Parts: sequence; C-alpha cells; structure tokens
Amino acid sequence: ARRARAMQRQGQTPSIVDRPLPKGRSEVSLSAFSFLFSELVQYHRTRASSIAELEQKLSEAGEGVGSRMLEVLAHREKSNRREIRLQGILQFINTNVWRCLFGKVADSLEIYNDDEYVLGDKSLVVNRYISVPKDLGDLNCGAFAAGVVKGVLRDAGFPAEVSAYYAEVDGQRTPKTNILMKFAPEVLEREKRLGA
Amino acid sequence: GHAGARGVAMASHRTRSGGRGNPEHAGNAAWLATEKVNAELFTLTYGALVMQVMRDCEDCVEEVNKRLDKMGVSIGSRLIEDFLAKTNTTQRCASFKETCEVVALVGLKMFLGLTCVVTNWSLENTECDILFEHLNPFCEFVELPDRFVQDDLKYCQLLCGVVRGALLAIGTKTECEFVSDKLKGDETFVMHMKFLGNVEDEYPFED
Repeated sequence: ARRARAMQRQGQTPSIVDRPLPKGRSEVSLSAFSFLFSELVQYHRTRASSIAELEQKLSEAGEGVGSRMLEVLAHREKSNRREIRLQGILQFINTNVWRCLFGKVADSLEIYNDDEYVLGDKSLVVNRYISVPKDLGDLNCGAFAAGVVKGVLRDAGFPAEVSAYYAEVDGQRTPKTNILMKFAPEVLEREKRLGA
Repeated sequence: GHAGARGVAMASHRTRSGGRGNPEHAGNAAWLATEKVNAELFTLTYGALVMQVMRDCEDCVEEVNKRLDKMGVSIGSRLIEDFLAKTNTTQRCASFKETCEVVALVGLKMFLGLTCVVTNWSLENTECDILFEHLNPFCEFVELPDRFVQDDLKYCQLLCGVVRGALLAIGTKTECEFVSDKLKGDETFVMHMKFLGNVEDEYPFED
C-alpha cells in the first residue's frame, strides 16, 4: 500500500499487485454463486461430447480458482510461508482453502495408500443448486472442487491426479463427496528424502 | 367485498416488506435474510469462466462479449423467479423509474451485496445511470491486459445481460451497458439503462 501511495504521488497508476490485498470477508448471496455456477455448467454441457469431458472442463475451471486461492491465502494467512511437506499442504487445503471458499473446514482427510489421500465433505456448499437437474448437480460440483484441489497442489509443487466421487453414508440421505488425490511419484520420493 | 379484502392484503404486504415506496429497506432486508458465500469464490469462479470463454473464442473479444452477455440473459431469465419469490413481489412496477430503482436498490443489493445509486434521469424518464460504489464481486483481483482494454473486452458484460434478461422476462425491453468501466481506466463503474418498450405493446408479426 505504501508503494501504491508513492506511485500515486509520482503520478503513476499503481498496478493491481501494489494495492493492498482484500481481507476476504466480503460476501455475495449463495443464489448469485449458484446461478453463476449453473451457467458455467450449462456452457460446458452444450460444448462437451461426454460427461467425462464436461467434468474435465469444470475441473479446469476449478484449477484456475485453486491456483489463485493458493497465492491469496499463502500471502494473507500464512505470511508467504509455503508448505514443503505433504502433510502441510494437505492441512492447508483441508483447513485454509476449504474455510475460505466453503465457509468451513473439510469433514475428513484420510490416507488410502502411500500415494493416495482422500478429502471428504458431507455437503459442499456448491451442491445447493437452483434449476439444474439434481442428478447431475452433485457430479459437477465435485468435479469443480476436485479442480480447486488440483490447482492448489500443482502450484504448490505437489502434482497429483485429483478426482471426485460419492460415497453413501449410513444415516444420511445425501452422499458424501470424496476428493481422491493420487500423488505423482516425484512427490513421494521428495517426501522420503526430506524424512517421512 | 373483494376490493376491500385486496386492500387489506396489500396493506399487510406493505407492512411486511417495508412498502413499495422503500426499495432500499427491501433490499437491505433481503440481503440480511439471504444465505451467503465468500465473495472470492464468486469472483474467482467468474474469472475462470471468462478465461475459458476467452480460450474457446480464441481471444476474439467481440465473441467473448457476446457470449458473456448471452450467459447473463440466460441467468437473468431464471433469476427473476428467485427475485420475485424472495421479495414477495406481487405487483408490477408502476414506471420505468420504479423498475430501475428496484433493480439497483433491491436486486443488486440482495444478490451481490452492492450499494448503488440511480441518477441522471432523462427528461422523459426513459434513461438513467446506475452508479456503483464498486464492482468487487466481479472485478476484485482483476486487471485487464492492454490489448483487451484496446479491443474493448466487456469483462462485466454478464451482469448487463442478467439485468436485461430479468427485465425482459417480466416484459420490459431495455438496453443496459457499462458506460464507465474501472477495468478500462475510468474512475467508476456506471451502468446506463434505457427503456425500449413493453413486450406486450409490440406489433404482432403474424398478420
């Protein structure tokens, strides 16, 4: 902000990176987001030749969100300290990213295999749709959220294949959204080198 | 009789929602009552949408502007139902002036949390400007590369489409454009509204 003011004094327009970062506390209605998201889905649905392609496009959109979220949160919440360990980045996604985007931390984080972790959420806020068929609704939200995770992991240096799937939960009407992260071999090798 | 009952119903409607004469109260009340999400989720998702449309249109700005507008109209035509339901609206606006006040003070407030002012009315009250304090839900974090400023990318065109589409769905044809755009280096965001006519007044095409 100081640099921005200095530039203004010199008659230069401060670029966007010199302005203070927003505090991240403003809101919009869930309705507004739902309408925007359903239009995003609709846009890709008419252009995709398969459900898999639709999910891929939604995941790509999510990656854009995740990638930028990493920058904003690392700066705002982590004093620019970057996670270099797997557990660290997983906690970052589970807590910081989820809380910023969805208003709460994720419900669960489990390890399936050496290279596979699963993040679970009982009800992603993006699931609450307006005027989009419910059967496809959850699938699309999952793909988008998976993309967000993928974007964060990729830009943080932990490349992984990320996908979303559903799991029935006893005593719950709606299924749980699970986000499966399968990490590239180089990530695990690096973890070993750094001392597991 | 019937008129008396309707009179009572309208009186209680006025009491409940703060009255037709106070769109600012109605807007604030609806904003307070609505479920909300982090604005950054909206902003980044919109940004991702614009980027994908840009790529699909191979950076052709004219195509992108058209596409964003079209998506906005599609949203507007569905959003109007949500608006009417949430604001308990049962009556038509009496004039274009009232329509624009409702758009600016109720609509933009309850969906996006924006505080706007309607001003610069033309003599016949068919044109006006909506002034925005900011357009952060769309534009936070956004800076347009020079070539897109030069080619006149209308980054926020989706919002214009939403307003036009919503009004069209209730029979009011309008033009709706940003005549001042901070992303292009202007001081403020100003949306210009122009009344074009009511749909039912149109001459039927079949003779």
